Amino acid sequence: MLNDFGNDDLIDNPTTRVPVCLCLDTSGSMLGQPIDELNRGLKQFFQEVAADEVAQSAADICIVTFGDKGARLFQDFSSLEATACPQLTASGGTPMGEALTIALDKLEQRKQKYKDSGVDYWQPWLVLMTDGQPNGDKLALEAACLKASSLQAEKKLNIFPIGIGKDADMTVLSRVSPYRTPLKLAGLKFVEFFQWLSRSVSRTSQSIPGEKVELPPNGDWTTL
Amino acid sequence: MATPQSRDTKLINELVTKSKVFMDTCSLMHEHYMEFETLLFSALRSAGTYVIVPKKVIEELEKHAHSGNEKTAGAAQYALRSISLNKKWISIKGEPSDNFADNVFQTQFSKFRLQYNLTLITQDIKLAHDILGLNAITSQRSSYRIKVYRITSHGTLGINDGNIDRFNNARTGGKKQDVEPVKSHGRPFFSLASRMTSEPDSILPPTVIPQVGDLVRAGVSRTNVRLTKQLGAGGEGMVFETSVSGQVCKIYNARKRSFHRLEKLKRMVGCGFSCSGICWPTDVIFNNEGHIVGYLMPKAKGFELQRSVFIPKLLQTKFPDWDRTSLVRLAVTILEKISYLHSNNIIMGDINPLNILVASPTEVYFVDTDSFQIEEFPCAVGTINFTAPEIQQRNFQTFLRTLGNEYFAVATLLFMTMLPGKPPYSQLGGEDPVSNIKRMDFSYPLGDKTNSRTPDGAWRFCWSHLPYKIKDAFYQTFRYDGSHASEKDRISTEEWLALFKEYLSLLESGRYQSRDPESIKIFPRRFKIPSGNIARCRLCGQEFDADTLEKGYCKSCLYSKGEEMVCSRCHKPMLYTNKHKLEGRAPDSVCKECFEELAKVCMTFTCPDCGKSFSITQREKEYFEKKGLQLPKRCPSCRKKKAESRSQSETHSLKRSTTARKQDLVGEDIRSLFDTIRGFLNFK
Repeated sequence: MLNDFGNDDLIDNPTTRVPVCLCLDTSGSMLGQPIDELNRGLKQFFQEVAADEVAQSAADICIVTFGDKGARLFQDFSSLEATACPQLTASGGTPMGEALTIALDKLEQRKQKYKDSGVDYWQPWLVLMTDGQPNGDKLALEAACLKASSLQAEKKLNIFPIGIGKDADMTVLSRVSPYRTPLKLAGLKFVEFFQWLSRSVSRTSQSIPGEKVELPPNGDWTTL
Repeated sequence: MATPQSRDTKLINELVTKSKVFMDTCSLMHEHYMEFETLLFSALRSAGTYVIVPKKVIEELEKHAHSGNEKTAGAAQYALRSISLNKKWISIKGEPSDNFADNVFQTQFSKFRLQYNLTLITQDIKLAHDILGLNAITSQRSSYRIKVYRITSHGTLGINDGNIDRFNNARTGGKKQDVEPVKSHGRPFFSLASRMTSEPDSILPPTVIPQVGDLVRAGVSRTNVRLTKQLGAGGEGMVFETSVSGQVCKIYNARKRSFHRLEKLKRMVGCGFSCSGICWPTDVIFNNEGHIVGYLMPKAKGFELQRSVFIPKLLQTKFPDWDRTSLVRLAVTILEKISYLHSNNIIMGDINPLNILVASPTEVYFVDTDSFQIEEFPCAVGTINFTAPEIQQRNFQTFLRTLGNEYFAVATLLFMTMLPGKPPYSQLGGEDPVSNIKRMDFSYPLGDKTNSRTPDGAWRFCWSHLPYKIKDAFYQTFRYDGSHASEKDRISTEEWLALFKEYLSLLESGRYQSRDPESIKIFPRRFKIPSGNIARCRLCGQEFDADTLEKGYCKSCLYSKGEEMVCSRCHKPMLYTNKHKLEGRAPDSVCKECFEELAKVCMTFTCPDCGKSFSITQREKEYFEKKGLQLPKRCPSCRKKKAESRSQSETHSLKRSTTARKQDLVGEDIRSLFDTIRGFLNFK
């Protein structure tokens, strides 16, 4: 009786979506162990979200990278099922402003797409990870900081700013996200971070009361 | 299935029904008072009576509560809290002449010993001795007796006979004894409170939280229970498989053990409520320190609605042979349980698809029942989709929900069962779920009434195939101007149940789907054809109401499909519709937009011959420009006159003269005019 059901997951899946944009630093400085750990963490994230039926139908993930080949949309929004876990490589500069611009645009477009199809959604999540100083276009960075922070102020965007290692520019992260203090990732605990993130997606996808979702307590993945 | 009564339960039931029970300070502050109070208040509740606590005892408790000794102060505070939460079952009595508590007991027992059986609960042996002494005086003249009990280290009652030698050895309880089940009530198990408890909630001091493998104790049945296997963990606590067959145990996290929670739990356990499929707390669970840490409940079976029915892909995997009858039967099963809860004044509060498990359409389990709203204790949680517009964004810990609020949640649950997983207010151009609900701009149509924002996909078909009565009920509930839209007007669970039973009988008899077989599907492929007069379109092969087909073709195939062509003017793609093809009409050369634009007037002139003004359309302008000609100077009628006189002279001189002449004739219809004068015109 269900075989006649359509194939357009965007429309046919009634679950309230959690759009997540991972905006990741893949500049040259991430080469070696950091990028390997990041890939491992991503894999973990994809696996854990896929393991939870509700989170899997809710999670809508897109990846923007900056470094390798400039700022670019590495993987557009798609439900997890249709997504193979990406393999990132590290090289190049740190055009964070340009990457943020892409990320914010993609999130905006995705929201519009939900609205146009009559799909419910939670306010989007932006995970921003960097291990250095932005060295792309300064104006683009300024504009992106302004946009991200004002969306955050209006509670239209949840930003998770993460600094990796000692050279991460925490000041710029806190300009992107003035209302949620940037966290410094202890060592290279990407796996732990992404575990926490997937649990948060699960928690959110199960729509806990009110607007504020009680995210699981942070484990030991920060130096805070 | 009712809770069997232990000997301890029986004893206390007997005491509260047959005598006036007094409580002393030391018993209220006893380290096992917490265990004892479950027995006590459940007995008082079922007997509809109370215990007497002298005002002097309260004063003593208050004094202790502010003492420096942490342990003493904690015990006294707990006792005061317990008294305050159970006002209904406690009568505080006192007069200004009362001096101190022991004296009060002595005085009052002497006074009333000839009118009632009297019971004193005290740990004090000396007091027991003195009070029991009164029996010696009265025994000859009265049939009433005085009894004295104390709280034992098991949280039960033991005889306090005033004899210090036997005191330490005395104990009651022990062997569990099955007695007749608690008799069922003719009246509701609970009353519907209008006001929330005024007692503030707070987290209880930390205690040992049992883990897997630990032995805990069930308070009412007085049995030891082993936590054999952890089944799950959530924000509130953990759930374990236990050594008691068919029963699982929920153990709260330390920071979730609050006064309100435990008080509500004790009330739930004490009332003897039971209903198959509702995983009601059957017993409270104590740790080895004598503190309540959780409860026992029947084990649930099946899949959470959210992980089965509410995600189409999972519905297909988990219940592959379900059809729409299964959904309606499921709705009826769920409604019957909610209706039973409501008839007992129990408001679920947090109705949501993670709290309802489905084993089959006729077997469902409600879990997390300890969050239900019980009398003055609110259900502290909720989710956006199931929260009525009037209570959106309120803190659930701070108010009591009404049945009206709950009916909104019931309607939402039913809607999301029939349109599996789709929330009622998702819509095209929608905002976030909170705003959508508050706006109540319900987007599914009823007859001609629609805001045209129904979501894309199969949802509109699911809706279309519902019976009119059900659609109307949803529409009137969810639409802001509907007749059941406001809290006080909403359709009750009982009424929904009647509607869905009717729908079920229509489906079970086969009558409903006999008109349109598509109506039996969970996800129909098209709108319902109410006439039952179904025919297939000759082109697309889809089913339609035969009356809507033209020559066997559907409207969509005729008007929205055809041959792709290009507009000769703007070069954008345009459609040579199947309708036009079928009528044998030649394809248009320009698209609709261009056709409209060409008809527009773009200039106005004054005719030099007649002095009247005339206009030039875009079509004319473009025609002349294309031909490289000047725009006409005269109005159409003067042009016609001129052309007629010219064509007369042309007829005579045509053979002789081929002199080119300026063409300035353009009428409203260039094409036809052009045809008439074709061949006669010479261009300069």
